[in-house]
Amino acid sequence: MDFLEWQKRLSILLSVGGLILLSFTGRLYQKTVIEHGQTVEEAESQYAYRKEVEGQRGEIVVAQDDKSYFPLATNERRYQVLVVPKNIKDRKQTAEKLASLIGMTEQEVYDKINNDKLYIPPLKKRLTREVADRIAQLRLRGVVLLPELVRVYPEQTLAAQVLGFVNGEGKGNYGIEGALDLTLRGASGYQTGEKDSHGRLINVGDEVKAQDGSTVVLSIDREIQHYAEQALADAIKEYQADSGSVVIMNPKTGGIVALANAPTYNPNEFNKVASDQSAVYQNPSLSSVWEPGSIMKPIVMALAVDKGLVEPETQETFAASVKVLNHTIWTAEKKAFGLETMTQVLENSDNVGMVWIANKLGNNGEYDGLKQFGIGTAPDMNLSNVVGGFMPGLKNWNDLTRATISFGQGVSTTPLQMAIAYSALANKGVMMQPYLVEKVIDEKGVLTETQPKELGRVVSETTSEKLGRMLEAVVVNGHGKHAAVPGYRVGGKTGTAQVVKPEGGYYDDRHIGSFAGYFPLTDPQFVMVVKIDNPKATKFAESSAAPTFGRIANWILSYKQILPDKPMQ
Amino acid sequence: MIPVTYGATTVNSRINRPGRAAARIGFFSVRMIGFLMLAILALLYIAQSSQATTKRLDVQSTRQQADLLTTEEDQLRLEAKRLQSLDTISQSATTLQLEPVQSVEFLSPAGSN
Repeated sequence: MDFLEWQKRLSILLSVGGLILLSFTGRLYQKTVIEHGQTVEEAESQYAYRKEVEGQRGEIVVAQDDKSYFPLATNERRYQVLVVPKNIKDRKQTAEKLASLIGMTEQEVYDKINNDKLYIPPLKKRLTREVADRIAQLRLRGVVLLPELVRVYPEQTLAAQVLGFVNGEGKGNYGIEGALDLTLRGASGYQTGEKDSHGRLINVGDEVKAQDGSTVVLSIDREIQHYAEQALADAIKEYQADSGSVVIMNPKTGGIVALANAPTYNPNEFNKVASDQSAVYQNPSLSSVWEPGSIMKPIVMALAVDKGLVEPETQETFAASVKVLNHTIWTAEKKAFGLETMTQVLENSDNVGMVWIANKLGNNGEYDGLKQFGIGTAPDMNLSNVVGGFMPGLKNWNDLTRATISFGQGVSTTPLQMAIAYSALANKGVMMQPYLVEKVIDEKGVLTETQPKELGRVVSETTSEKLGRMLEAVVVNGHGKHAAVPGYRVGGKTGTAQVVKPEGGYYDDRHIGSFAGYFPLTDPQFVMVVKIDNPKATKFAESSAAPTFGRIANWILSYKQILPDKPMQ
Repeated sequence: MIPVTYGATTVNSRINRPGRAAARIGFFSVRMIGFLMLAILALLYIAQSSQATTKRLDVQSTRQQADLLTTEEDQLRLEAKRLQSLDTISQSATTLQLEPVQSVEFLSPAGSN
């Protein structure tokens, strides 16, 4: 080969090499300059590691003793079973091994994994650690266990409607979970790093710590709540009632001690509640209104005593009925009580006597007074679904409105509202703001405490004392005998309310029995309202709500070791 | 003859110091020394970086272990609370045939503290 030939071949080789180099340079330019973002993204996806760290949802707790709390809602680590069908070698065998552990049939599992997809929804969620361990031991290819934090309620159904629940997306619904969702919810954090080709972490990068949600401390007393729920359930069974509620409050602070409702549900299994039964999620103590009937009488009586219009000993003769406008108002049993003191008006639950008192108060006196007691206004509790019932505006009042409202008809309230009104009577005439959330403790331990707040004086201390004695007389001599607790002074009033028909008027065969009162009268520490809806085994509240009140009051006084304030008979 | 000196070094990299052997540093030696220094620096950097990564991974692993132990502790705490739940206690009381107190009698007379 001569020099020229060699030179020619070298030039060709150099040209080809130059072209290859040029194409490489071009490709490099395309990847690093034109498609820079995409290239970096692709590269990062291969080595970058990012792990989302979930902040724990705050607990909902109640005081257990002076130093510790008991969780009514907390979190538990559970596991999801994820399957990558494409990576499974033997689908039949995988289905066979998994099925019994996750509570599915072999065919169900097989139907779900018999495809070539890279992702299918988790086969099962909320698996316990024991089950997850057993699945892990199987070492099944294409089966992954993913830890998850789930909300659990260790006391099962206890205070379910107070607590609410957390749905599958981690959002709080109903009760405290719904109302304080943002306070309870934690903020997610993340951790970055680099991984090798096998996915092993080789370097740790930035980290933003997850923030846990705040702990919410309720004013509920767990033992009293439990007993109230049990007593209510027993009463519903015994009196063949449809439903019921019990509200117990501390009249001195406004703190709610118990909110029991029946029927109820288990928030751990909220999704098992049938769709037509979803009303069970609501808290009827706060949101269900009814015409309170005779438990309204002591409130109207207190207004009249406070204005000096009557005294407990004031006497008057009453007939079996009274005509107001074109309507005749009768006593409950169409019986004339004749000469009665005002105390006896309450003891006998005399509607006619109450109409006489309402006339003395006048429209303005009764309306303004009831407004002060919170009737017709939703209590301010920073919770959703707390309703305020209905009381007609003053301009719509006439003699009949005034008369019927005096014995609890033509007006609607919730059990909580009645408990608040009776709390004012029990607390020397001073009404306290009700609260359910006692404290909020954030992740750093900073405490926000609810301070008891006075809403104002509704009646004088003297009136409050007089009403206490009148209500005690109802329990000793009147319809409230079954609410008595031996050794203790208890005051209260029964209410047997008719049920309003949607089309107007009242049902003949339905009623709501209630009892509202407080104890021990010497130094009232508890106010309680018991409401039993449509008891079929008894006609009057004195045989349904009053004994339930008495049973719960008796237990609370023993449990709290409150000394008797009256000599034992 | 008077010797001509320029500081410690004379022309042609020859060091003339009385009583010492003359050492000559050529271009190759400078490059080698530079390369060696670079290599040492690189090694030091790699060693330090690798040590830092190892420490970070150790910290990460310790933290994971701590998380795991915290999870275990939380689980045990939850189990304890489940066992203390009023439903569980009621069931145990029934199993043990315990009876609720029917009436309480206080030794202090009524109205006294």
